Order: sequence, then structure tokens, then C-alpha cells
Amino acid sequence: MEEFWRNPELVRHVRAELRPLRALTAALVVLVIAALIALSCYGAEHDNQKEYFRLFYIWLAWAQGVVLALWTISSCSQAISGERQHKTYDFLKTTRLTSEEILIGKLLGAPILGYFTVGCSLPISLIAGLLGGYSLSTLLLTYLLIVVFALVLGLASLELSMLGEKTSGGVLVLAFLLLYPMLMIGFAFMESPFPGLGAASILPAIFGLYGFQEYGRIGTPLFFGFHVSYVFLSLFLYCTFGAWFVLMLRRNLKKELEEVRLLSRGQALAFAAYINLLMYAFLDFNSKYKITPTEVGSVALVVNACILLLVGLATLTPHEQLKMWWRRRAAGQASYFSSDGLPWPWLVLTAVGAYLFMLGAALALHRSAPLAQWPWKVMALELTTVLVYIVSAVLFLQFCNLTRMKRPILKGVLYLMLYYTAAGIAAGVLGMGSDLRARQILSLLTPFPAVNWNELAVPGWVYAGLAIQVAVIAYILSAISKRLRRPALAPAHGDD
Amino acid sequence: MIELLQLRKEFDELVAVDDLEVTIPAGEIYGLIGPNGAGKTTTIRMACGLLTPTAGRVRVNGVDVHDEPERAQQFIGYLSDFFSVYEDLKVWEYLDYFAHAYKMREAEIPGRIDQVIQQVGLEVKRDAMIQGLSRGMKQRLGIARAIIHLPKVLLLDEPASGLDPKARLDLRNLLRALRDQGTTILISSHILTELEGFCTSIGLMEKGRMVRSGTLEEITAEESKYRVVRLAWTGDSAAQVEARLKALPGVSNLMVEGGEGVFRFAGPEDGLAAVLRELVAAGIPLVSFGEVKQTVEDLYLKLSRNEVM
Repeated sequence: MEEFWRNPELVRHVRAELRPLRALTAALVVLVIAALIALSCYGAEHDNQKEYFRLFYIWLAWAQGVVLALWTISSCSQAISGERQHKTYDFLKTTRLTSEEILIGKLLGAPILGYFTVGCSLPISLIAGLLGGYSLSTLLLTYLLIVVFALVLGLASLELSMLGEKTSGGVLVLAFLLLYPMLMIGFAFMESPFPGLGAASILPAIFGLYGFQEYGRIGTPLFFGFHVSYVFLSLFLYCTFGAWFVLMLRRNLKKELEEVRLLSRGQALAFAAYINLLMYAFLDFNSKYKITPTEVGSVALVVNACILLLVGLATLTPHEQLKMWWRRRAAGQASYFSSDGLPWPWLVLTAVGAYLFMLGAALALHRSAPLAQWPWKVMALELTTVLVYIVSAVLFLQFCNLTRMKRPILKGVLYLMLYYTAAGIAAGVLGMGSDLRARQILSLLTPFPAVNWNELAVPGWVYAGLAIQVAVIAYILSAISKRLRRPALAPAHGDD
Repeated sequence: MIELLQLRKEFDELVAVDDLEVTIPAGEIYGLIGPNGAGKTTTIRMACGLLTPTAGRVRVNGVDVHDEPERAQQFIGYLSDFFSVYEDLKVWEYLDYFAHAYKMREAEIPGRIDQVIQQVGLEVKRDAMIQGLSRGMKQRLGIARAIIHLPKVLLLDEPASGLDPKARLDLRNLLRALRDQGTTILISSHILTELEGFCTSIGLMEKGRMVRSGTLEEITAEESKYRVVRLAWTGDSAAQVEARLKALPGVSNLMVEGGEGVFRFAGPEDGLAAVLRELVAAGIPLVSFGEVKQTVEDLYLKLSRNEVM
């Protein structure tokens, strides 16, 4: 444990951020703000002492949570990209610090002033909470949730920072803007057949702890057939998602930006399985928001389309690794399905896994929804359609990654967006006055109608579209091989 | 000891380092020289584990840098050309951070910090904030960081950039002292004069390839197909010198002006001694006679004109 606190990266941040004068100033500012909150609460409620302390505690705890979340996002999102920008990161990477030590040092060290300010106000808020009549366990659970939530935000921000070459204010503003909807979306999930997903936001758990009913009654959602509290579910989700972030950071923290690959192929498959498992674990056929197996299939399709895209992006092979794999393969030393090879076989496996998960869920939930009600054939068609389009898109991105474009993946994504926008416009223009024509064009050029096979898709046109996509895939594969076959050239004069 | 074994790095379709094969024995200062784009920085970044080679291996003190990175790092000190330091720390805190990051023994750290601070001449700045240091001082702090953990191998990429002449001299002396303590040093530069005086061996790189490697003498000897000899005499013996030399085998390109002359001699050292004996025997009042050593700079210039490729 002593070793943990002597982590050099953590000590560096503590030394730099918490110099005595700065720490004293921060503590004084915290006290002044706490006093101002206390005064304003006194103005609002001064007849009932217990109510006054409750109000004071709640405001202070809110302030602590917001400060901690924003501070963590702000400092962690610059922790690695900032070092890259200032050219100090190489020296950190050439020390004997392991990825785990760097990760812990940055996660706990970068926002250290934020932790310190919250720590300074913690005794005040705990005393106010106790005087307000809340139990110690409620208060401790609240702070446990706030700290774990902040740490997960910190891990996500570190992840973003690891992928950036320099700090960007835009990412920070985006993160701040997304924080509010991310918090509020929990209440939307509470009112759905997947109420447990509400635990992704910290608010249902906190509201449940204090009995707040502003956004409806906080019940106990279903999780693998058991009713559990939002506090447990939030902690479970944060810990498991945090573990994925830790895995990705641990793999890549000491790598050059060009060599970063968030997950190995096996880990990507496991991630897809984890999301599918969560989705079915939260499914509640008996909730007041009724859902049919066909609708579950549609939800599963959308979720798995997102997973396939994420898996594809996370497993794109860096240029050089792919080239080495190609040469090893040509020499008969590597298989086509090697972890350094092309990502498409793993996307197929992910899609097969998604189908098998639906099968498993149908078997497990057969008492609530008989097997015959599940959309086996339609789901297979929908999933195949989505898979083909995503394989085509991911291979296109892999091809972009082999070109000399700057930020090839980003540009590839923009090209894809351009294609789908053009397809949408074409469907809109050519299908003017004819709904069927619009659906035919969308079925030919995009996978979107497949999401609702029975109502939107025009099967013949979907199959024609699939044939075109298969041809496109074959063309991209041949373009990739052509590029990988090119001999390497000695450089002309230029930078080292 | 540093071993670069068939080291290769490709960026897209370009070969930045082309199957480099170099072994630098312990205690050597090996200068990597070449124009911009030769592949020096890429080689050093692969040697310290920052870049993964496309093919080949790097071994430092027998440890593979890419198979056992954390173990190899204890032997490596690295400094790049343009770098920055943590401005919000004090000088001693910065060194203390890296001493801990290199996992030195706790008891050794305070003494070692004082030692390196003294070695780089930053004693008066020990407790100063880094943001107040001049560029040259920060460079010296960077060098102190690179040697804080007593590395067996130092990889320095253009370490003298940004240093004033006095600091460059101090750097040379420091590197010599480290070499005397047994440290192996790989240092890159495109400024020859920075390296020529104190490197025990050099490697000339061009377009990712090592075109020459060895001691200065070996390289210049290999390159020289003839010796350039300069001589001087007193009195009016120019015509006699010219006549005598032209009659000797192996002598060419003779130029005589006043009491001095220079000629090319193709032959072994014994042959050159015979030339000297001949001139003395002819009664020419020689005051000097010696071979003009071809400098690495001459070779480097040839390299830049692609004459050695």
C-alpha cells in the first residue's frame, strides 16, 4: 500500500499541484464557498434546523459531485495529450514505470486539486448530512457513487487523451455539454423495458438513496431475473466499464500513437459479448412498458450494429502491423485469421455471437416470451445486411489507414458520412411523391431499412444492395492487397 | 553494449532505416552522423524502445528492448533534440521524480541527485523552479535526467542543440567522463565538429543505410586511395624538389608554391618514408614533411554529394 502512494507520477502531481500556498488558498476558497452555501440555505430554510442541514448537505454534495466530475474530465482529458504536446511523454515512456503505474498516477494525480477541494469540504458535508438526519451508510454510499463515477469519467477522459496528439478545448467543451444529457438519460431508460440501463447515469441511484421522486418512483430494476437496487447496478456498471477502460489504457499507454489498437481481437469479441449480456440481463418483459420479442430483436440489431462498428474501429490494424502480417502470410508464417490481419473475420464472429446471444436470451426467457414469437429469420436477414455494410465500411477505413492521408480514419469516417448523406438525398429526391421508390433506393444503397425489415425494407432491392456491397468489399480487399504488395522505397531527403 | 541487429523501420512505403547492423562495445562513444532524413532519430528512437522496428532487434546490455522493455530501460538514458521539462517542479523534484520512475533504491536517490546536479553545474539552481531556468540550463537538466539512474547506455539525439559554446564543451567533458566510467554512448548529430573530437567510432548514415562504420582512422583509411602529403623547405629549392618528386613512383598532383608543396602519394607508409629519405639524401633543407589526415568532414561532404554511395 505504501508503494501505491509513492507512485512517482502521483507524487509529481501532488508536488506540482499542491504546493503549500496553493493548497491553503484552495482550502480557504472551499470554506468560503461552503459558508456562502450555508448562508443561502439559511435564507431559504431557517425554522426547522433538521431541514436546514438537509438542504445545506444536499447543495454541498451537489457542488462536490459537479466539481469532482468536471475537474476529473478537464484534467484527465489533457493528461496524456498535453504531455505529447509538450514533448515530455517520451521520457515518461522510457522510464521503468509500467502502464499500470502511469495509469494510476495520472488518474489520481492529474485531478489532485479537485480531490483536495472535495476532501476539504467533506467533513462539513458529512456533519451537515448527519445533522440533517441521514444515516452514515447513506452518506458513505453517496460519496462512494460520486467517487466511482468521477473515476470512470477520468478513465474515459484519459482514453480520449491517449488518442490525441495535442490538447483540444473542443473535446473538453463537448464533454461538458454531453455530461448533462448523459446524466438525464438514466431517467429515460427507467421508463423503458430495460429499466436497469438507467443505472448508467448516477442520478437514479442517488435519487433512490434519498427517496427523491422528481422523475418518477425509483424502483428496483431487473438484473438477470433478480430485482436489485440502482446503487448496486450503478456501481456494477461503473466498475465493469471502468475495467474495460483500464484494459484499453493498459494495452496502449506506452505505445506510439500510430501503434495504438484499443483492444485485441479476442478482447473485442469479449466486449461485444459483455454488451449483449448486459442488454438481455436488463430486459424486463413484465415491466409496465410492454415489449414484444420482435421489438427486442430490433433493439438488439441497433445495439449490435453499434457494437460491430466499435469493434471494427477498435480492431483496425495499424499500417505497419498489417504490412508485417502480409509478409509473414506470404512466407507461410501467419494465417489469414491472425490477430494482426484484416478485421473482417472478427466482425463476422461478433455478428454470429450476437445471434447466439439472442438465442440464449430466448431460451432463458421462454416463460415470458415463447420461442416461436422470436424473429429468427428476420433477425438473421437484418443482421447479415448490417454486417455486410459494416464490413464494407470497416475495410474502407482499413484501406484509408494504408494511405498517406493525415488522420486517415477520421477522413474515412467523413467520406462514409458523405456517402450516406448522398444516399439519403438521392432517396429523398428520386422518391419524391413515392414512398416505395424512396424505400427502394434506401434499401439498395443503405442498411437502414433493414432495421425494420417488415415495414421499411424492400427485399429484392436489399439483396441487390448486398450484392453491390459484396462487390465493393472484394474491390477494397484487392486494393488493400495491392497496396500491401508495393515494395518499400528508400526515402528521399527529408526529416528524420 | 548496444546491438542493432538487422534493424529496419518502414513508414508507409518509405524505408527510414534499412537493415542496420551495428554493435557498439561497452565504453565507446559512437557518433551517428548524417544529413537530415538519414534515419538517425528513427534509429535512436527504436534503440530506446519508443518505436517498434518493422524488423530486426535492439539489444542493450544483452536485453531485448522490445521484448523486455521495463528491464531494458534501467540500462538506458535517453535525450532527444527538442524536448521539454515539467515546468511546475523544482530542479531537485524533477530529478527525484525520474530517479523514482527508474526505480532506483530509495537510499541512493538524494545523494545521486546532488551528484548529477553538480555534474551538470546546476548547484545554485537546485531548489529553483524549472520554469525560471534558461534554455541552456533546461538542456543541462535534461542531460542530468538522462544520467540520473547511472545508465550503462546513453542515447543522445542531437544533445548539443541549444547549448552555448561553453556548455557544449562541458557536455563533451561530461560525456568523456561517463565513457571513462564505462558508459556506452550513442550520439547523433548532423554537425560533424560536435562529434569529431571525442567519438571513438562513428557511423555515417544516408537514406536509412549505414554507409561507413568504424573508428575515425578506419573510415578515413578505407576511404583514402592515396595519401595527401605536405612539405616545406628553406631556401630556393623549389625546382629541385619538383624534379625529385616527379621522378619518384606513386607521386602525383604535385603543387609547389614558394617554400611549400603538396602532393598525392599512392603507396604504403614505408614508401612514404622512402620518399622522405630520397629528399633528405638529395640535400633538400626540409623543415616539415607529413601526411595531411583526411577529416571525417571531407568524407561527410563527399557523402552529401553521394560520392560514397
